[in-house]
Amino acid sequence: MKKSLNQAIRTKISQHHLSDKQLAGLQQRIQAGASRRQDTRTSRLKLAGLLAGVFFAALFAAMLLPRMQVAEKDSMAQLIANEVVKNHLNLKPLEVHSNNIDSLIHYFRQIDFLLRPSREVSDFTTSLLGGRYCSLQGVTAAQLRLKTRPQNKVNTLYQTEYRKEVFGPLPDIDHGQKPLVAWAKGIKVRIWVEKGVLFAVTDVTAKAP
Amino acid sequence: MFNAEQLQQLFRYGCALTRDESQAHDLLQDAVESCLRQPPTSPSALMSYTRTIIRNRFIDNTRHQQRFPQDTLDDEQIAIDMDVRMLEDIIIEQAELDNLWVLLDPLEREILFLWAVEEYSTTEIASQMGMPRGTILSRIYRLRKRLQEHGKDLSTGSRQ
Repeated sequence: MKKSLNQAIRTKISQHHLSDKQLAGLQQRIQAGASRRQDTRTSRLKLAGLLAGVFFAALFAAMLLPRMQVAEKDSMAQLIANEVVKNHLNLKPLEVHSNNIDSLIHYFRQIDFLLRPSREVSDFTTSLLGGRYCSLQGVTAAQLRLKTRPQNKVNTLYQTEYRKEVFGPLPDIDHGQKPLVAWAKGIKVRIWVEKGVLFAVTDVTAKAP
Repeated sequence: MFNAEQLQQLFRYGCALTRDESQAHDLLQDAVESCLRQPPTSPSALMSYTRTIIRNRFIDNTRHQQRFPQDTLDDEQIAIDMDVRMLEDIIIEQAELDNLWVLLDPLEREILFLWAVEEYSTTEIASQMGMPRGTILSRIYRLRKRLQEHGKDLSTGSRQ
């Protein structure tokens, strides 16, 4: 029997469903995640109560907000550094080989921002090796590879659209802020926002403090 | 966070992208983990946010250019009334669609899913997929052509 295209698609799609076991597994995972978030919230409340007992309320209110922002910034920086370093160490094959920024811009048409050099990365255009599509915290990103001079080592540079709702507050060097530094698996990662683009770059030549 | 129906809906979206239930389940698990770590700022954006994560993971797992070829139709080239509505008057046998489904690329299946199941407009599809509207229109135009050319049994009614 013939039917409209959208009815046929709906029929086809509705044939797929999670099994009871798969559904139960996912719901269990969500439940566990929700409980953990609740526990975390409870712990924070206890900490806040303790602090309130020690400090004057006004002083506490003035200090809590910046502290929370710093904690949020630091934990997100660590998540970004972990993901960048993991992929840096994987060294998956490049999808495009070029030291020309215009060629790379042409290749990365899928991303919603313009690939750009940064004043935080010296010799950006002369050290490019190429790039591949990737993602950072679930956001589509360009993963570029750079060669250091004179050491001839390889660094990984991520660029992605800066979405505050995903990445939280990060330093914007256009506003005079300094890049954040995080370490993962012995590799230094610098993270910053510039012209609305999030940058994260490894520094394999840096020595751990 | 997600009820059972939402999980099924996201799973079907994964199936539309991958044509593989096991891969769709993996993508959904990854996306749920991501949402637990980093929930969307607005609860109302949960489904759209999760679909974006599933899509990004899928792109990440796939050779990008092979599975997501780019072709954009300039706005000047677009016929005035060309959008997803031009698919509405197509009549098809279920078996015909089943045969055709395996020939479509992930991007085409995603467009059809968002149009038929989520009932999105062209602009909403472009926004969900993070692609220029011209790219979506170009694919819809070609999809319609392919659907029309596919079989003799395929017939189209007149547009309203």
